[in-house]
Formats: sequence, C-alpha cells, structure tokens
Amino acid sequence: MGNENSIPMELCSNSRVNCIDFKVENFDADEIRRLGKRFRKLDLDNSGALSIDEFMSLPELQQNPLVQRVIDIFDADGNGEVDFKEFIQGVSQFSVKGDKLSKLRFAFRIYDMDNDGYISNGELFQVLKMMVGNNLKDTQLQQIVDKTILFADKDEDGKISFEEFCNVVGNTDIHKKMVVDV
Amino acid sequence: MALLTSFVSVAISILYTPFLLLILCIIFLASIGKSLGVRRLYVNILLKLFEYGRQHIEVAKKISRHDSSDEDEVTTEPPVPDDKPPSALVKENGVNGTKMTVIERDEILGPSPELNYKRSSSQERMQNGHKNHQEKVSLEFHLSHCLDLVKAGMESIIEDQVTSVFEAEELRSWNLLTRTNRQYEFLTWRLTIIWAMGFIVRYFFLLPLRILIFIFGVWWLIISTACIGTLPDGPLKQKTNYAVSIMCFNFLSRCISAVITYHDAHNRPARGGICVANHTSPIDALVLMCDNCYSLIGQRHGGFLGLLQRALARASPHIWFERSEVKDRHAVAKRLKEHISVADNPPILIFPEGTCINNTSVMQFKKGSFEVGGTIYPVAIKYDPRFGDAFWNSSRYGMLHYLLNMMTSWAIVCDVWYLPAMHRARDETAVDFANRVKAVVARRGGLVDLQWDGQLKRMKAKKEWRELQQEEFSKRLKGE
Repeated sequence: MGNENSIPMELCSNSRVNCIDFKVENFDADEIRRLGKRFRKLDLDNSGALSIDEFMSLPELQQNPLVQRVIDIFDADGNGEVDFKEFIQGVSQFSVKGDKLSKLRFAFRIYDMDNDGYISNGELFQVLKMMVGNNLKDTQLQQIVDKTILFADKDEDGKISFEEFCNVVGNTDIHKKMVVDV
Repeated sequence: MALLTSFVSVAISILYTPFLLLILCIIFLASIGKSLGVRRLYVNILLKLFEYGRQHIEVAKKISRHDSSDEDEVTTEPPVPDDKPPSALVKENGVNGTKMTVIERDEILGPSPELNYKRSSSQERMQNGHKNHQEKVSLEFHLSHCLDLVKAGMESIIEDQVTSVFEAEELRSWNLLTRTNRQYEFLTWRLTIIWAMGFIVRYFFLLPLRILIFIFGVWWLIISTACIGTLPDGPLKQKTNYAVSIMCFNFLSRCISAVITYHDAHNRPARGGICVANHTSPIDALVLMCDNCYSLIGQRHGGFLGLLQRALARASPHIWFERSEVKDRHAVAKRLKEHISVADNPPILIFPEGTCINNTSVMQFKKGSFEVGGTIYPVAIKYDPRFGDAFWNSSRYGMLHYLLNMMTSWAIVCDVWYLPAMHRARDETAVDFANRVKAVVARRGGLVDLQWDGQLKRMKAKKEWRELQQEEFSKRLKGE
C-alpha cells in the first residue's frame, strides 16, 4: 500500500495537461457527448463556465453540505468557475475506470482546503463544521478533530499528509463509494 | 406568386367537399360512440414508419463511423459539436423506444433526510460491527464519512432528479418531429423527404381538421351542458350527464387523435370517492373524462377556460375556487368533504402532484387530498412519447402554444390503468398514505418514484433542507 500511494503529488499537479489526456480516457465519445450536453444544460447563462450559482440551481446540490468543497475541487485553476475541461476532469475521477489513487486524491482534497498537501487541524475543523452545521458544539467538534488527527498522524507533525490519509481511508471500499454512472 | 395562390385556391375548392364530409363523418361516429379503428391503424402505420426511420439512421450511422474512423480523437472543447448526430442515441431501443432519463439510484441524500443513511450505515455496521458497539457513547468520526455526501453531490452534478423531470423526455430514436432531437434534421435525403411529407400531413391536413373538431367539440359541449342544466336535479339528470359528457369528451379527444387504452375497467372510480392520478398535462383530465364522469376541482379561471368551467358546472357538480380561497387549505378540505359526503356525486379528480411532470416519474403527492378520508381510487397514466410529447412545460410554453404542439403531433397515445381502491389505515398518517398511493401508481405506470416536491419547478430549494442534512449527519456521528 505504502509504495503505491507514495507517488509524489507533483506528478499530477505540475503536468496538468498530461493529466487531462490521461483522465479523459476514462470516458468514451458517447459519455463525453452526454457530459457536454449536461454541461450546457447547467450553464444557464451560456458563458462556457459554471458558476457556483449555476450549480446551486439544482435543489439536490443545494442541500448537500459539502457542495462548496466539491465545486472547489472541480475548479482546478481557482478562478471561481468550472469550465468544461475542469468539469470533465472532475467527473472522470468518479468513473468506473478511474483508478483508486485519483479517487483517494479527490477525497483528500475535500479536507485539504488550501491544497498544500496536508490536512491541518483547522481545515478538518472547517470541513466538519460544514457537515454538521450547528448541531454539535465547537468544543465537541474540536475533540473529534484532535482525535482524528492523532489517530492518523503517524509522523507526528500535527497534520495529515496524503500518505497518512491513504493509510486510514485506503482500506475502505473507495471503489464502491466513489463511482458514479455517467 | 399569382400561380401559387391560384393553385392553392383550386386545391382548396377540390378538397373542400371531402374534407367537410370527413368532419361530418367524425362527428357522427363520435356521437354514437363508435370508432372505425382508423386511429389505431394510423398509429400502427406510424410505428412501422418510425421503425423504418430507426433502421435507416442506424445504417447511416455505420457508414459515417467507417468514414470517420480517423476522427475518433476526443475533443474537450466546451460545446461538443453534434456533427455526427446518428452515433449517439440509437444504441439500443428500449421497451417503448424511450430512454428513461431519470436514473434510479439508491438515495443517499433524499429530500427526507431521516432515510438517508439507512443503507450505508447498515453496510458499515456489517463491516466493523465491533467498533460500533464499543464507542457508542463518544462521537465517532472517520475520514471516509464524507464520501457519501461527495458521491451524492457528484451524482446530482451528472444527473439530478429534480430538474430532469421538468424537461421533455428523451427519445431513443427519432419520431420524425422536428421538435424532438433537433440534430436529426437533414440526415439523409430519404428521411428528409419522409419528414417533409409528414410535415405536410400534420400541418395542412391534420391541423385544420383538428382545429375544426376542437371548435365543434367545444360548442357541442357548451350547448349540451346548457341543455342538461335545465333538467331538474335527480337521477335522470345524472344519467344524461354521464352519457353526454363521455360523448363530448370522446369527440374532443379526436382533436388530438387520442388513442387511449383503459386497463382493469372493473377498478374504475365509483361515485363518492376521490380519484388521484399522476399529472403530465391538462390533457390528463380529458383522457380520463373519456371513460368516466368526474367532478373537477380547481381555481376559477377567466377567458376560455372559464367558459368551459362554467359550462361543465351547469351539468354536474364541480368544485371551482375563487383565487382568494385556494390558499385556504381548510376551506378546500371542507368543500372536498362536502362533495364526497353526497354519495351520488361523481368521483373527484385530483392531481396531487400539483404540477405537470414529464411522464417519466411521479413526484411527491400533496397530503391534502388524502386527509379528507373516503375511498381513494389511484389511476396511473402513461403516454407513449413516440407519437408526441404530452408533457406541458408550463414555464416554457403558454397554453395556446401547447395546444398547437398537441394538434400538430402525430397522435396522443396513452395507457390508463385503474388501480384497486385504497383506504387509509387507522394509524396511518396522511403523508404515509400519500406515499403508499404514489408508490402503487409509480409501479403500475412504470414511472420512477421520487420524493421531491413538484413545487421545485418554480421555487428555489429551501435553506432548511441543508440544515436537515447536517442534523442527520451529526446524528450519525453520535451513533444514533
């Protein structure tokens, strides 16, 4: 497990173009066409990019506590909008043909809000807060955060690296949980 | 130009007499309640034509695949060009030649969050049962807990259930109407010629005929209801009304060439009950009224609809509300109760979804009509979208435009299933009962059973829903 997951993250983030070419292989022409149609449907103002408001026009997404995080991950260049390339790239990580590593990376990015390769104490707190809203006290939340980090943090630097994350999450059936029919 | 006009005038003068005869023939047949089977024959011919078109498209697709084998590389530019139209949709031909646009999924984030994690949490308990037992007291969080939410979000990005039911249903193969599958136009010459001939038939023969039938039908309805209105109340009036109303609506249904198949007629709604049906378009009422007499319920309208409403109310008891009364749920319930307390009244026809849905799914049934009590007669209506899309997208088309669409479609073909009467159990809430009825309707009509509120067509989702989801998630953390 350790070997497979310790591929440096730069490999993906630096050569993004390669990444796209590689990931698009997860879809055939039909699927791309269908996703294109979906994209155009979501793109209410025909700007060629999806804004947060356009995503939020779907009631199902609107009620999803993590929608902001998912959109942020889609938005690879961080310009606040998701263009078609980013859209395909994002969805492709949930393809049946997608590899486990990219799925794990997507899950990791949910928590890694500033995309520095580590889940810090504060980040985990914020994401948890999104998920539970006002139903738990901040002190309770903080306890959960501390406990989770303590459990996962093997090198004791106070934050969770991707490798540590994989060690915790990697053995759950991520293939089942992060696969979506296109 | 002069040549054209003279040609048209000659054509009209020649066709005038047979056309008139045809209309008289239709009126006569409708008034004695008989059908020569012309419409069924017409529908069967259309089916053959569609099948021919589908095969033709498939052949064309194969050829174009061969031609463009070197153009297979995938472009990821925003508007994916539809330059090779045939390749997409004709892959397989479903039961009805339709594509179920709504994907049925295990609902993780449904609109009623208390059901959310039942599936996933039971799975987890299977996997690490011992863990759950030990730590029930403390808050248990695992980094993978977010995955359900992420997956649900992803699913709705790719295809969400709510907005897709308010759009025209997708067909697997072209039905030779321009308004569906626009990209099929000008595919091959042969298909284009067939399409053009169909266009001429639909717009220059069927449309004028149907408009005339419609006008006659409405007049006939108004006159006959006015006559019945003069009769004294009693069994005689009811019987006459029953016969005349079915005749009128049968006649009107010919203006959209309706071919309706009624199943399980022994379950037909009886007097003094409430009939609930799924709602696709205003035509639903017409479809049901062709086979039985119903009391309609609705808001009082002005104009043409108001004219019809007043005409109907003369002959038989219907419930029309003033605009101000509609919001008052108690008043509505009271009127419903009063109506069904008279055993002789025709069954009330209610569409509890409260909005038109595109014939692929059933959305939440409003509980109002299930609180009244009395017998509920569920009815499932399923249109065959190949002959024309019956769904009224009211946010896109006005009533007139919709009627025009209907009258220029090939036909309206639909199945109506009468389901066994249902009663509310003693300890059942109205909401549960509504859901039970909805499930039965969905199963029979082959529709997807959704929990979403149909009002989402017009209003935005509420903020509280997210809070409900959050509450549910924290309950899960607490191990409840």
